[in-house]
Amino acid sequence: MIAEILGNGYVQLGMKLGVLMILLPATLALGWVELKIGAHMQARMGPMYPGGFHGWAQTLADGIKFVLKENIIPKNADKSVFSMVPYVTMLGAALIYVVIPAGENLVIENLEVGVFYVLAASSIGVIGVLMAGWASANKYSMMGALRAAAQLIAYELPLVLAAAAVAMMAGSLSLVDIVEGQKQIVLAGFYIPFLPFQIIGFVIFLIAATAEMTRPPFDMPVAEAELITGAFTEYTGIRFAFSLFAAEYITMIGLSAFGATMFLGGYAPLHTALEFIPGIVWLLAKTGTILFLLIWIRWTFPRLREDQLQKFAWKVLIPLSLVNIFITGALKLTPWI
Amino acid sequence: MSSLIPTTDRWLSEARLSGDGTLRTEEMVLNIGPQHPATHGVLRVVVTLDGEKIVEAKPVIGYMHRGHEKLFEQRDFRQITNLCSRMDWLSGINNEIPASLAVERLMEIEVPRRATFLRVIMAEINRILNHLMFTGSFGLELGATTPVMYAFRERELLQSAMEMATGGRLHFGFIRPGGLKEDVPRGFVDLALRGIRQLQRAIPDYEDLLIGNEIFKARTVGVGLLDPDLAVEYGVSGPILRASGVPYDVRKAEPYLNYNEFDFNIPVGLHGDSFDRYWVLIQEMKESAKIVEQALMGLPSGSHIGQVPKRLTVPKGAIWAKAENPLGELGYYIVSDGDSRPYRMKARTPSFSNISVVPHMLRGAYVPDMVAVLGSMFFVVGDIDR
Amino acid sequence: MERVEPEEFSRRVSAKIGDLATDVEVKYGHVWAKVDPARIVDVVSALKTAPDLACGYLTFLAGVDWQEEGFEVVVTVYSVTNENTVILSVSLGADATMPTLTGVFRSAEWHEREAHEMFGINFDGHPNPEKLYLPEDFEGHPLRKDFRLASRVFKPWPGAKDPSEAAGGGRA
Repeated sequence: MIAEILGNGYVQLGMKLGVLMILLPATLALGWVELKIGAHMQARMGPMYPGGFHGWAQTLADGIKFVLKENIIPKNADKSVFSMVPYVTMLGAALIYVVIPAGENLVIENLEVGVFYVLAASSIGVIGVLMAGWASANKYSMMGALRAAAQLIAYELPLVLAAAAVAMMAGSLSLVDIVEGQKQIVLAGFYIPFLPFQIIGFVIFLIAATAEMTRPPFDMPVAEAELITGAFTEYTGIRFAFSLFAAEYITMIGLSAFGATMFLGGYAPLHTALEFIPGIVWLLAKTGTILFLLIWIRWTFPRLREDQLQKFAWKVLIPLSLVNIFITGALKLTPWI
Repeated sequence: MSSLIPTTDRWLSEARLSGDGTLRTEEMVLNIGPQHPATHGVLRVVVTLDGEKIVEAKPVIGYMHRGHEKLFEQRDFRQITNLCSRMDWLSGINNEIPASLAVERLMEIEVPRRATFLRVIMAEINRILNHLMFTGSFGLELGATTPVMYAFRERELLQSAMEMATGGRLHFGFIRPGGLKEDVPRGFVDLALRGIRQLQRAIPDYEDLLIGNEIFKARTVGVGLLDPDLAVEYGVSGPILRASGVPYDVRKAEPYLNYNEFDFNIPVGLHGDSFDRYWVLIQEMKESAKIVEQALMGLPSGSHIGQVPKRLTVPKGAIWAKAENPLGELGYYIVSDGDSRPYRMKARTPSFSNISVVPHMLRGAYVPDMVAVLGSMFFVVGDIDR
Repeated sequence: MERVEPEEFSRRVSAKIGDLATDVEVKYGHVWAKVDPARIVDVVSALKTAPDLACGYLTFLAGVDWQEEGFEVVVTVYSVTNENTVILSVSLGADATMPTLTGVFRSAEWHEREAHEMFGINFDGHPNPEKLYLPEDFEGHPLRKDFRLASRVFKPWPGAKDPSEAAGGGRA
């Protein structure tokens, strides 16, 4: 609709600018939401003072604090690699948004291999973690980086396989096609997304995405009780904020939007009668649901051990996702879908 | 850029190869602490690592050595109880009790029944406060952030009851040779009872939150096994010893105060792993709550302090007095030369012995296990170093 | 586990180590005995291994500085099965030396290191006679009576509020 008025090129430019402008504020907002949700789950109030209303400016104040702090580079660190890290982690996190559709034409680039692209982009971040671990000249950083790399290899596969099953359902790797595929089944006016058919895939996606973002219970690479802050132990100030917090939250929003697109129908409305609400609102609502799930998981579970995590990935998740693909194949062959 | 990425030749020439041409891995020495989140306090552990596996672990202590034993010799017998409460800062009352017991036995002071009851009540509330702290922080060490917040919620009421009576929240300084500093204020009994009731309601939550959690079990069951014979040889005591299956509790073995009048059990673990240690801690809170309830119900009226001379001159002699600190057996060996200050006062603190056995438990474990082991050894650095 | 009466336990201790120790008595519910440094290892291992004593729990080991009369080492062992304590007092000679107990109790290592740095008592055959608490380069033995607390050299302990000793000042 908007594209018809403005033409595709302007939409793309607008989306690019919009995403770029919205990412950092979104990070701050999500950080605040996480603080508040976590606090209420733990019988606390969370931040109450900064900004007045329920401490809304807490993360903003944190951000300003990070900017004002001294940027320390350890003497033995590999300086160029060390200072490149925030760019790499942020790049990996931000690239995800390129293919997430907020409407049929409201997408920066509707790639034919969109699913593939998101998975590839989301794993760029770990290169940053490895660089940080290597360049810091610190044993804790090194161990954290190695853990992160091992974890990524273990969880990339179930993530890919879970996504592959969805691609099978839609018969396309393009995210727009996948959303359109979820508009096909309408039951009493309700659009039925892939979730009911891909419930195993969704659970695998949630677990693997949590591991990929190194959030609890899979946060061994930054396990503060063991490795202090893992690969980012030596980072301070703005570099720390960008390479750890901003990258984590941007990846989190990105992967949640990806998950919402894949399993919950993305910009598709819930009911045919609700078509008047713009797709972007639906996308944000569904993304928010997945974000809440991720936050809930984080504040509930203890952390696994590195070897248990590997066992879990290779012995449980990967076989399970293969079974899931098999089931999906069987579903595709049944005539009533 | 080229200098950043070594060529294969350079890499091979620099890599250390063992005799048969395979790559030899090197052990890495990692200094954990004294400033490290896992060692809550200033314990330092020097670990030799093979990958993530611990080959050897050596605790290095002394970063908080404050010379308590020298200071004891400078203070008179009324003042040493205040000093004692600063050794294990999580259980002040329990630290003060054996010190005044020793003085009372040497001077043959009669302690009124009300004071004895109040000592039991406060010691057990203090035990609960301590156990809540450690159950919470153990979860934190394993990456679960919620248990510690719940624990602090329950601590609050009991902590205010203690504050109401003693005026302090950490260093109570309330026990005196002969009794207590003063009687408890009106309302203390109600507040303490309310705190206990709230705790009893909340304990099932703790059990659901961690004991029933699969990840928690995976991290703790079979981790950090402590053999009962080894534990006894090292003088390990308290919940850690009992988790290994040895039912040694000073409150039962050599009842002091009037613990023999109360009905309570000694929870004992089966395997001596981190899970059992955590489980014992939770069970002990229930038992302590039972004792506090009974003592509050049966609290007699009377004086809070016995007949104590103005100047405490302790007759010549030596004595060994011990009590069950929340972390284990705490005792004082006091030598008096007939003065108002101890000639020599040795503090036998539980954490010291408990930590000395840690190298045996860490051999062959993974780095994350180290956190599970240290977290379940329930130590206070001030109690190790004195 | 039933607690054995201290008197009965004291009889058992006398029967086992009577010829190695002197002054076996019961005070404040614990069994006390005096042992010669040369015999302490035998006494402790007898207490540990005898089935009817089973004092396998090393409670603590501590030094006492008796100034002119030399040093004393107090070794306390406990029997978890019989629930009784035996406190052994060892008076050391002029050389302040006694054999190490690490052969009997591995846990004696830390206790002996502490007594070594605090009092300068030597434990013959100790596997690792390093300092435990104090820094490597610390000089002196802080718990000896002739080691004055630095702050007390200049200013006596002000806490003595008892009128009879207000003027006396602190003890070293």
